[in-house]
Amino acid sequence: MTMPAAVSRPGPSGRLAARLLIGLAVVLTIGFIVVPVAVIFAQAFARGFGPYLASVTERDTLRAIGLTVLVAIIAVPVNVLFGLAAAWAITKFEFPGKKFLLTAIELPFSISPIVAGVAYILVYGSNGLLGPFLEANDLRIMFALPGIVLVTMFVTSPFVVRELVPLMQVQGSDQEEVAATLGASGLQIFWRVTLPNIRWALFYGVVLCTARAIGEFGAVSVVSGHVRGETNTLPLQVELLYHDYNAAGAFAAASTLTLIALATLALRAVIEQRLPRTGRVGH
Amino acid sequence: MSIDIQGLVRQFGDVQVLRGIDLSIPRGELLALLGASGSGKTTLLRILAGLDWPNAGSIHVDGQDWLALDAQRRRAGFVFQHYALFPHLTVADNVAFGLTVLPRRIRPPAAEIARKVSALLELVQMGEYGRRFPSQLSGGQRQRVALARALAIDPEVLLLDEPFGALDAAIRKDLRSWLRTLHRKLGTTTIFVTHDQDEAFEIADRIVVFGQGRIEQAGTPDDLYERPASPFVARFLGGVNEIAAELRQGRFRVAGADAAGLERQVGGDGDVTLFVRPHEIDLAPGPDGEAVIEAVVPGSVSMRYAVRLPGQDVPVDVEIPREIARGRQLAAGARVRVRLLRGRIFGQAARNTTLAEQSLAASAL
Repeated sequence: MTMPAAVSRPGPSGRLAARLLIGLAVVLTIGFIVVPVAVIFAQAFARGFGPYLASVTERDTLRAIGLTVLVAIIAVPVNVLFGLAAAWAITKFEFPGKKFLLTAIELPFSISPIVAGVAYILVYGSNGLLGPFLEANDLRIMFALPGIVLVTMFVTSPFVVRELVPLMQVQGSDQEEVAATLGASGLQIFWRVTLPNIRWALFYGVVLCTARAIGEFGAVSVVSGHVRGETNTLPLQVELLYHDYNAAGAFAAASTLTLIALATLALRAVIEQRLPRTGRVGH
Repeated sequence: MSIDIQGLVRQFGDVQVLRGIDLSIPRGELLALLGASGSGKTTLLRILAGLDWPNAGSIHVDGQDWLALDAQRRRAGFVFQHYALFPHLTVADNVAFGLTVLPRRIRPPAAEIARKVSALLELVQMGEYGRRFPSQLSGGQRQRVALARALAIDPEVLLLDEPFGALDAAIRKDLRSWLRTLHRKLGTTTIFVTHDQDEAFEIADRIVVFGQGRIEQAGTPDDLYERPASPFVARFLGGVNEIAAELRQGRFRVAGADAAGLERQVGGDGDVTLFVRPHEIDLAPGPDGEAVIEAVVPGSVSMRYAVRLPGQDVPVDVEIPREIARGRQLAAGARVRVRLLRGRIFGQAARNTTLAEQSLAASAL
């Protein structure tokens, strides 16, 4: 029996090429990922733990951390509800405009976050479409918390849906239908049949969504107004400190963001092992 | 409890899947819906379960309008071809599901639920598997758990969609007789969908043959086989020869064959298509015979012969029991005399059936 060419044993030259490629990958990983991350922590702790703690607990930085967490606490649950509802509608029902909805959900991925921010200004800003109405009613959306939450929700909205739809499409509706014939109400079906089947994919979507909500810079930068200690989220604070030539403060704040990213990475690895293999699309 | 279905129509876009179904199912009957895929039988089952809704028609169960009830309140136990067990629940919790979702005021106490679940698991011979998860069971075991889960709600009617379709042939045979026994024990009205004629014949009291969204015939297995109502049913049940014949004063004439033994007809004269099953034809060797054996296919119980008759487009399929065939010289190439023992015609319908129906019947074989 002959072996297919693709899996045949590599010759000496093939082995050399393999070593070169692996070496290249290692060098690139170190150069592009390991060194920058290490530098962040090295710089943050350059003058010891005391100054680091002082930088992190500096009033404006603490405020920025608090604001970032608040934005995530609002935006992520809303996106979870939206993601569940959209995925449920797309996978369990047939309706006109379904294809369009699927495409529209992906839109935030293909639009530059800056453009999203500008678009929100054009609608909700004082010179925007709704500006006069908002001003007349003394509602402030831009350069305040509501604006930051809105753009964050926009930018992070595809994460949960994208994780759920492929999985729920593979699973079909048989289990839900059986549950209905057994007398379960709509809510019982959701809690006791649908949710247990998608919990890991949902959790995975939440992790990705949270990471992005915390790390979002572009869109938030446009709508926040950069008011120190007021509307600066953590990523904006890092930039601000850096431009103030406060390297220690900038790196300390950045290290907090990096820690969150590393924690996300670890969670991802754990959840990915539990996810059933489906035709999930990578990012 | 009896089910009364009248004028049921279901359309998906432009496609009519059910074109007016009328059917009465008496209490306790074990009924098979038999048909090729796309004939509408599964759609009817889903409508009965409340998982789909007709565009027109009515379903009454003991006089109650079932179309006014949603799936939750019909108590129709549904079993899917691919079981649809809940993967995150144990076998026992799967079976208990229909009881644990009951409103608190009518839900039985936990101890009673546990007792009922173990009784049901005993019934389907899965008593020792209560703590396992569905992924740890074989296909046949999963199907029995799915059945126990459907029985837990004391269903008015049990609906099975191709219940053994995803199983190995050997297990399928076992489960058939097992289902038959179970039905005798419980007496629950049971309707199952199948495309497998043997399965329908072996299990059901009565069979409803579906063709393109209509009921072609409903009757006992004997009725269908001995007295098919249409060419479609005759073809669907398999292996029927369609022989061009001539009808003269109530007598059939087939070129090259002896048709004198066939029943006299009262119809008018003319060309007809005679439907004859392979075992309704006899062969005798004879140098004066006008027919020639083209091929011989030995089987375990009987021998099959492809016989060329003058004036027929395709060779005629003949089946003769081994015991009888042994004494005769029936080899390929031999000249034989052909005698038709029985046969039937379907009036004008015999030649007016559409090509689509013919290909449907052929694909079902």
